[in-house]
Amino acid sequence: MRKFVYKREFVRPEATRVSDGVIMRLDDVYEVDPDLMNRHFHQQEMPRWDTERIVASRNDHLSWMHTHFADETLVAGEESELDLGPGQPRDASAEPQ
Amino acid sequence: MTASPTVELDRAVVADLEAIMDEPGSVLTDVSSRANRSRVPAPFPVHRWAEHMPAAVVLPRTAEQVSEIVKLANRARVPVVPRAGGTGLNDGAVPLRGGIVVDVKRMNQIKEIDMIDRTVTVGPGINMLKLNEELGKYHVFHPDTPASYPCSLVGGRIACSGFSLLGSRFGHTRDLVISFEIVLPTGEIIRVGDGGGKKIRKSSTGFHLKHLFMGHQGTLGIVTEATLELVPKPEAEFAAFFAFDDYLRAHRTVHGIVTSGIATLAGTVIFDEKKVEYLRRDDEAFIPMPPWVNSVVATALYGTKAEVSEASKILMDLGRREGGRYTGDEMAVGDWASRHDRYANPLHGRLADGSVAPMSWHCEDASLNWSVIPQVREEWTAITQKYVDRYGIFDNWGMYCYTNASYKPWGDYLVEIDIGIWEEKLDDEKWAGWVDLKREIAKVSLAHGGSISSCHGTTRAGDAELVPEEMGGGWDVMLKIKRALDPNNIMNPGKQMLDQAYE
Amino acid sequence: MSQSSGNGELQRDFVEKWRENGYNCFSSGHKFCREVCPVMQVTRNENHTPTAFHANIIAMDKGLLDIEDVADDYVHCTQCGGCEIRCPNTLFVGDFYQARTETVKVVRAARALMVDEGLDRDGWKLWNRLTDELKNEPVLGIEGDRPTGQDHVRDWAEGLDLPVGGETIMFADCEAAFYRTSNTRATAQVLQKAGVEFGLMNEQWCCGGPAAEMGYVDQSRAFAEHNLADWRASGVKRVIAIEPHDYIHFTEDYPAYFGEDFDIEVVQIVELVAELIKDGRLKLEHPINKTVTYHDPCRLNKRKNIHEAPRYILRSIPGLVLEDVDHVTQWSYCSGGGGGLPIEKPEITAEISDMRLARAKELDVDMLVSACVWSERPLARAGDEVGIEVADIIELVAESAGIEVGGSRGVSQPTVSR
Repeated sequence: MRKFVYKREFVRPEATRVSDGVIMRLDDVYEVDPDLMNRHFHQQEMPRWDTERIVASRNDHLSWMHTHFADETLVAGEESELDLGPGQPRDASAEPQ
Repeated sequence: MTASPTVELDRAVVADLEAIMDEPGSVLTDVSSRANRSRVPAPFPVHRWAEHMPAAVVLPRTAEQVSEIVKLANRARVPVVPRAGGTGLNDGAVPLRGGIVVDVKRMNQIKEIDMIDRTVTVGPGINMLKLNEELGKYHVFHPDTPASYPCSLVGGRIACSGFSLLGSRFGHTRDLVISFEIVLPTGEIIRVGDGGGKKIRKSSTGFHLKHLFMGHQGTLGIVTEATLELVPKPEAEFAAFFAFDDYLRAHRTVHGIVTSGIATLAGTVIFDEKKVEYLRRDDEAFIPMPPWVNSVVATALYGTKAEVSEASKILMDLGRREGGRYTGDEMAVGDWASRHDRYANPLHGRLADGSVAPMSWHCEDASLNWSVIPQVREEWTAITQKYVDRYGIFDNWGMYCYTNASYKPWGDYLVEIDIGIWEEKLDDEKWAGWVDLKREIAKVSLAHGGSISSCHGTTRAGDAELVPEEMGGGWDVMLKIKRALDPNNIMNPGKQMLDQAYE
Repeated sequence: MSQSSGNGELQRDFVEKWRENGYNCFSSGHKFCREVCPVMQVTRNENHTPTAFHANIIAMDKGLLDIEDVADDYVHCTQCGGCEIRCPNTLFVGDFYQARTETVKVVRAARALMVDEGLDRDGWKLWNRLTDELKNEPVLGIEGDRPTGQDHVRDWAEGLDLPVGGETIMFADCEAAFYRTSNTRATAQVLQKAGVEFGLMNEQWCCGGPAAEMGYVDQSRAFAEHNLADWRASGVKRVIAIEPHDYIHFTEDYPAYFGEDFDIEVVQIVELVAELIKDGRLKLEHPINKTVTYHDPCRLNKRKNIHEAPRYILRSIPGLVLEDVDHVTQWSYCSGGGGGLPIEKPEITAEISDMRLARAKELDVDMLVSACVWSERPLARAGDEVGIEVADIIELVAESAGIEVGGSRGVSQPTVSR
C-alpha cells in the first residue's frame, strides 16, 4: 500500500552521471541531464509517484501490445551479446558463433 | 477552377450544408473548428497557419450526405478537402485553398463482421487499433499497422495507400482492403474493388479501379465505406535485434534475411548510425547501446507457433552471419513492442549546442532498391547536415530502411530519414529552406531509380514538383483522369501539381 | 478578435505559462490520445481532443483565436488523464525528460482563464456558488429541498458511533456523504471491523477538487486551507481518502498549494482495504455468488496507476467470479462523471456511461463493480437500462465481511437483479 508523503515525493535523491547527457536518480530510471533542458524547454516538478506511474505504465503497455498482436511472444532465450563487442562475419563453412 | 482560396462561405452555401446534414453541430464555421483542422503531423508553417484554414467543416454520417455535399461544392465552385484522421505525413488533409473540410470521423461504425467469407465492413472514420480490439474477440485481426496504428483511420489509409510494419507478411493497405465505396468528385457514389464483387479479392473484369483510387490523396473522391480482410490472429510472434559496428554489414545481413524464403517474415529494418545515436538520447527506455554499436537490424516473424518457432532459429543464425550481435531477449521484446511509439518524440530534438528543443518530425519515405541504399544514405546524410549547419533549426534523427513490398521482403525498401524541425522558429526564409531540403532529398531518390514516396504521398511542396518527373509518361494520363473525374477541380485542389490538368 | 474583458493580459499570461506544453503536443501531432479519449469516442469532434486543447494555446499565441472562441470546447473533458498517460511524450519519455503531457492542467488552466474573463459556464457557476454556500457540493440537487451542507454532513454516520478527530481521519466526500451513503457507511464499518482507528473531521467541507477542476481556483484553495486547518486543529497526521477524486486532490493540488508544509500522509481506501485483507485483519467469509466485471476508475487507474489492489480485493471475495478487462484496455474507458461534465453536458456523460455498460454487457456479467462513487451514479443509470447492477467495491467488501451496511445507493436504486 503506498502512502503519499510529501518528502518522499518531492525531495530528489542525488544524481549520478550515466553518460554524456544522461543521469540517474532513481534506480533504473534514466533522466536527461537537466543542463540540456531549461533553455528552450523546461522540466516539470515531477513527484516520484508520477515517474513510477510512467515506468510501470510503459511496461504494462508494451505487454499489452504483444498480446494485441499475437497469442504468444516467443524469444530466442539468449542473453545480450553487446558486451562482446563487434562481431566478425563468418565464412560459409565455419560453425555458427 | 478555383483561382483564389474560399476563406468564407456564402450564407446560402452554409444554409444548404445545414439542410443536407439536418443535425445541430454538424456544420461548423467557428474559428476553433477550422483552426483545429488545418494541419497534420507533418511539419507545418505555423507562421502561416491562417492560410491553411478551411472556410467550414462538415461532419457527415452517411455516403448520401457526402454525395450531396460534393454536389453542392460543384455547384458553388467551392473546394472540398477530405479529412479522416488528419495523421498523414504529407499534406493530403491540409487545406490549401480554404473550402469545406469533409471530416469523416463520425463514420466509424463496424457494419458487418463476416467470419465465413472473412471480411469486415466499416466506415472510413474507424481506427485500426480500435477495430482490432473488437475483432480480437473473434480471434482475427486486420493487420494494417503503420507507425500511426493507434490514431490513423481507414479512410486515410486508402487515400495514402498506406504502409504496414507487417507488410512483408500480411500486405499493406492496398492488399488488405478488398473493396470500398467512394464518392466521386462530381458526387456519384460508386463501389470499386477487383471487379464488382464486394468480397472478391482477385478479378479480371473491367479496369482495376480499386488501384486507381488507392493512394489518390483525396484528389479523386471521398471514401465512405470499406470492406477489409480478416486474417487469423497469429499464435506467435518473434522479434530479434542484432547490433553491428558497420552499416554495410547490417545492410548485407538484411539481404540474407529477406532472401531466405522464411514465409513468416513480417518485416526487417535497418537503423543507421545517426538513428542509433538518436535512440541513445533516451537510453532509459531499454538496454543502453555500447558506443561500438553503429547500426542495428530488427526483424520480426508472425504466424503459427510451429512455423515461427522453427523459423526463429534460422533467423538467429542469419542475424549473426555478418557478425551481428544479438541484443538480448529483453530488448527484442520491448523495442519491437514500442515500434509505434518510440521514434518521434519532440523533446528528442537537439540543437547544435546539445540543448533540448521540441521539434516536429519530418519523415522522408522513399522507395528504393537494396543495392542503392548505402549510397543514398551517404547523400542524404550530407544534404541534411548542410541544412542543419545553415539554418540552426534542423536536427538529423537518422535513417531507417524497412522492407517495403507486400509478401516480397526482398523487393524494395521504405527508406526513411527523420528530420527534426524546430517549428516554433519557422519564418518564410526557414520554411523555404525546409522545402529546399525536402526537394534535394527527394531528387536523390529519383536519381537512384526510386520513388519519392512509399506511403505518405506527394501532396506537399518539396515533393509535388517532382511528381511529373517521377511519373514520366504516366503524368499525362494522371492529368487526363483528374480532369475527367473532377471537371471543376473541386476535390482537394492544389495538391500534387494536379492543377496542371486545367491549364 | 473577441471583446472579452480587460486588455488580454490574462490570456497572454495563460499562453506564456502553457506555451511549452502546447508545443510539445503541437510539434508531435500524433494524436495517440484521440481514440483513448472518452469524450472523443462519443462526439468524434476534433475540437474536443487533447490535441486541440494544446493547439489552441499556439493558436492564441499566433493571434488566431481567443479563449472566448474555445470556451465551450474546454468543457468537453472529464479530466480522466487517459490522454496524458497514453501520449508517447509521457509514456515513453516523460520520465526521461521529467516533462510529460499535462492535459488535465491545461484544461483546468483554460477553465480558470474562462472564470477570470467572465466566460465560465452557468451550470458550473451555480454549482460552485452553492458549494461555497453549503461548504459541500449540492449533490442532492440544486432546488434546495434536499438537505446538504454542514448541518447534515454527518447524518450518514448515524448509529455508527464514530469519533470526531484523532490522528487518522476518514475524509467523507460529498457524493458519498449525502447521495450514496451506503458507500460511506460501508467504508466506516469495514474500517471498524478491521480494527483501524479513525475519526471524522470537525468540519467536513468539500475537498475543493471540483472547484479546481471547473476553474474556480481561489475557491478550491480556500477550501483546501480550511481542511488543512481543521486537520491541524485535531492533530491529524493521516487522511484516508475514500474517493479517487479526493485522493487526486490531496496528492496533487494540496501539495501544490502548501508545498512542504503539507505534512499529512494520504492513503487511498482500496489500497488500505487490500492490505487489511492480505494481513488477515479483515475476513471475507460471506460468499457473493455473482459474476462481475471491474470498472477501473480513471482517477485510480490512469491518473495514479492503482489497479492491482481492487482486483486483489475482488478475487478475495468468496463466490465472486471476476471477468476482468485489463487496466491498459481500460485507459479508454470512463463513466463520464468527472471534470464537471455531467453538469454542463449530461448527454455526453450519459453516452459515455452507456458505452461503458455496453462493454460490460458483452461479458455476460451480473454486475459492474466500481471503486469510485462519482462514477457509480452515471454508471448505475446506464446499468438500469441494460439490466446490469452497478456496485461499489467497498460495499461488496462490507457485505462479504458480514456487515449490514444501511444507507442508500441514491435515487437510481437498481431495479433489476439476476
